[in-house]
Amino acid sequence: MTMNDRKVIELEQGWAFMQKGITKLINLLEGVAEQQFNSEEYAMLYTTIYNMCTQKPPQDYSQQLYDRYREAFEEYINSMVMPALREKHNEFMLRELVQRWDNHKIMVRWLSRFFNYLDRYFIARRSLPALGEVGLMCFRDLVYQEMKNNVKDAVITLIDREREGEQIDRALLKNVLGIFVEIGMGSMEAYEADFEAPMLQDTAAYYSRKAASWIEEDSCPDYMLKAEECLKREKERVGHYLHSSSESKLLEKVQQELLSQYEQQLLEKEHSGCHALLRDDKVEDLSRMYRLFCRIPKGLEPVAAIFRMHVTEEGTTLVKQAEDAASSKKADKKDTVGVQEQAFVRKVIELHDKYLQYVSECFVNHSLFHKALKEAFEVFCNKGVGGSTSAELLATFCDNLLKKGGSEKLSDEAIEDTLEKVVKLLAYISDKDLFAEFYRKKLARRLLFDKSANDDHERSILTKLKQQCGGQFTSKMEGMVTDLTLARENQTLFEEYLSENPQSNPGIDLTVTVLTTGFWPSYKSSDLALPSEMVKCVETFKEFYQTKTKHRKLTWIYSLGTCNIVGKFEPKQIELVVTTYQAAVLLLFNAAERLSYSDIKGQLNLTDEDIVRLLHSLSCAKYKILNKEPNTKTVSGSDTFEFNNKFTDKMRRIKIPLPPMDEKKKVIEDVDKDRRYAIDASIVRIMKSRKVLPHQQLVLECVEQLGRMFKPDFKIIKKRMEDLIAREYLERDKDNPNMFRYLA
Amino acid sequence: KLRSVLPALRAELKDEHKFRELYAFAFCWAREKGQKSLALDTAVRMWELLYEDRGWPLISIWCQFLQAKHNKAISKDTWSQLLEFSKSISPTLSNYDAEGAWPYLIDEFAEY
Repeated sequence: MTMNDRKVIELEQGWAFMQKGITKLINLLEGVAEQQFNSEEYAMLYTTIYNMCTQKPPQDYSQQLYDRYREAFEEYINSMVMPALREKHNEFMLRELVQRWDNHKIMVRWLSRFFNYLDRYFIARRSLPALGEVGLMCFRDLVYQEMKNNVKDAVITLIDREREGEQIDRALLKNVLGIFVEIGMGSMEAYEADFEAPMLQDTAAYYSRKAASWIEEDSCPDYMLKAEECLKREKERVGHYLHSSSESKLLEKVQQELLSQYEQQLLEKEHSGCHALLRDDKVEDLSRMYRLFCRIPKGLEPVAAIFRMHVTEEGTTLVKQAEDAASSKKADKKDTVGVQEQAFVRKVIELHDKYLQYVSECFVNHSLFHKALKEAFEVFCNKGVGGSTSAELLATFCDNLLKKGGSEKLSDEAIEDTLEKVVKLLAYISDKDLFAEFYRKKLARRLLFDKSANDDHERSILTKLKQQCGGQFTSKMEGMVTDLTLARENQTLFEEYLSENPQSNPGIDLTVTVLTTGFWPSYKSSDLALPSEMVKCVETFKEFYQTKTKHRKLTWIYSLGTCNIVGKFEPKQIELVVTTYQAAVLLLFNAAERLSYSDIKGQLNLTDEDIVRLLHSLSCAKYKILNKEPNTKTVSGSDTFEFNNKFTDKMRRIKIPLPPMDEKKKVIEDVDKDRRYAIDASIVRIMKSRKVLPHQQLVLECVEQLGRMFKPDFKIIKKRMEDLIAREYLERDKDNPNMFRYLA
Repeated sequence: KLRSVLPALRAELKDEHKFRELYAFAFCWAREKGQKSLALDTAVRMWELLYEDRGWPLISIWCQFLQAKHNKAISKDTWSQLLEFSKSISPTLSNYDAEGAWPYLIDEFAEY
């Protein structure tokens, strides 16, 4: 058949033919016995449409066919589909719906194929929806709109039943929800508005109820377990039948109801809340707590707060314990740092290790918890124990680790490890400069009296300190270590000098260590009247030193020297290892058998404090080189002393210790002085660059600048500012006394 | 000497500006040659004189405080800031800001 001799098909005629095809299709869908369409039938239907659309007007029936296409759906839906659906309820209704939807899609597919020609030109020309769309819209407008609420209710009911533990037909739900998605025809609006929103609401209500009862009955760990489980299940639910876009919204709702609502109550549960878990070391529960609360906004803050409080509490308890132990010490030992304090430092280190582990394991190294740990430690690490500041305690602890015969006997590795931890603790101490000073003093002792156990460890801790606190912190200490190396070299040269100049030889073996003033702690040089034997030593070395450098001044610190002196006792000779001061006392007895306290003091020209200490060490301690009259335990100004000829010991050589003077006060004084200079310098530096600055800001910047070493007191800063005003570095602004100006 | 001159100036003293000038001058005039600060006794007497008519209720407590707690010379800064203090801060110290830029001594006084 060609175009030209085609017979015109009238509308009703053509339609009747189409209707037969439609009816057959419907029958197939309804399950009525029918043969499938064969290709000839298909071709005929298609061609009929084609013909009717390509006829010349007024026989171009495109519009009518387009309308009747739609009407075919409407007729079928209204007469057969809806009645069937209305009859059924709940799950049955859902099944029916799914079936009808599938059928509908088939119907659309086939009919649109039959009517396909309309899609090609007609709809584009008139800007009309395509056949497929029309088909879907019919279902949407006639079935979906009417059924959607019931469907939604039925689905939600099933979901809730599954939540309660029932097994439900997940595939069915998946299919039903597929309808919601597809009906949106490209947008998710239908799904979101008609299903998701009510579902979320229902979910919220469901979990709200559950939470309300669980929070009363369950302990915190149990509740958390349940919460975790619920979240897991809901996530699975999404995987099974909900649309993936629902996941985040769904989980958020659950979190909201289970966690956000009750966080406070949960954490604060008396015997099982966060505090209790920390106390009882319930690591797993705490990990769970972190996992759960990191999901909700600001959920971790309360946990971190409790953590911080707990650690602070633990630390403060340690401080108190140590303090109590310290105050029950004997009165005469009050100024020294004793065993208790050492144990305290150890315990603090252990505490730090413990909770650092918590932070890294339970709390996945989250910065909030690092911060909490830091803040907690800063609180109690700055509390002193037994009259000593924490800075001093730490320095003494290090000293013990590094000196020979220190109280800690550990392997090299353990020492390295401990030193590392001590340096970490230093970060929490605000008076770092105080620590530096104490450390320096003790380092000096170790170096000068050859008490350092291991050079590598000494260097290693300096490296660590440098890393943590900067080069300026350790520069002096490093200088001290270098000085000793140089001193050894120097000694060799001195001995060469002596052998080349025998007339200068003082006749006594002399070793001199030259210290660079800036590096070492300040020592007061004393006015000790040197015994004549030693005078020549000093002279000789001075000569030697002049040959090396002409521009340096030597100041002799006899208080740091040691002397080996042979005591010619009646039973046998014994070599005594003493300090220079002690030697000076003993040498006096070469000239006189018996001397009074005032004689000794007069001859040596030292302070009472020094004399008492010296005489005590020689007459009232373990080795009685001198006999004291009266033979009391302490030295007083009215005592007399006599050389103890009869003294003996099984050893040929003994060391007579001189307990060191308490340096604490001096150290604190020195540090205070340095701080005043530092504050002055900082203020001037700031003002020089800013020229004009209000008071508050100047103080703040000053505190910030100095914060690495210590926390300056506001009052002191003020005082220094006033001092600088008086010294005309600064002035107040004439109009605003709150502002300060730099005076060049 | 100032005492004799003051009565004549008293009328002028009512003028704030003039008082300010006089007050500042008094410090420099009353201190010893070559000194930067003013001796405490002299300062106290100067203050009593200058504040006689002004009716600042805290002047006597201030002087008492200084003699009991401070016992040292008075710096120029403290002297000039005291004037500000007496003018702007209420006798009950209700508007006193301890974090402000007041000199150390005045802070101490406020605590006292």
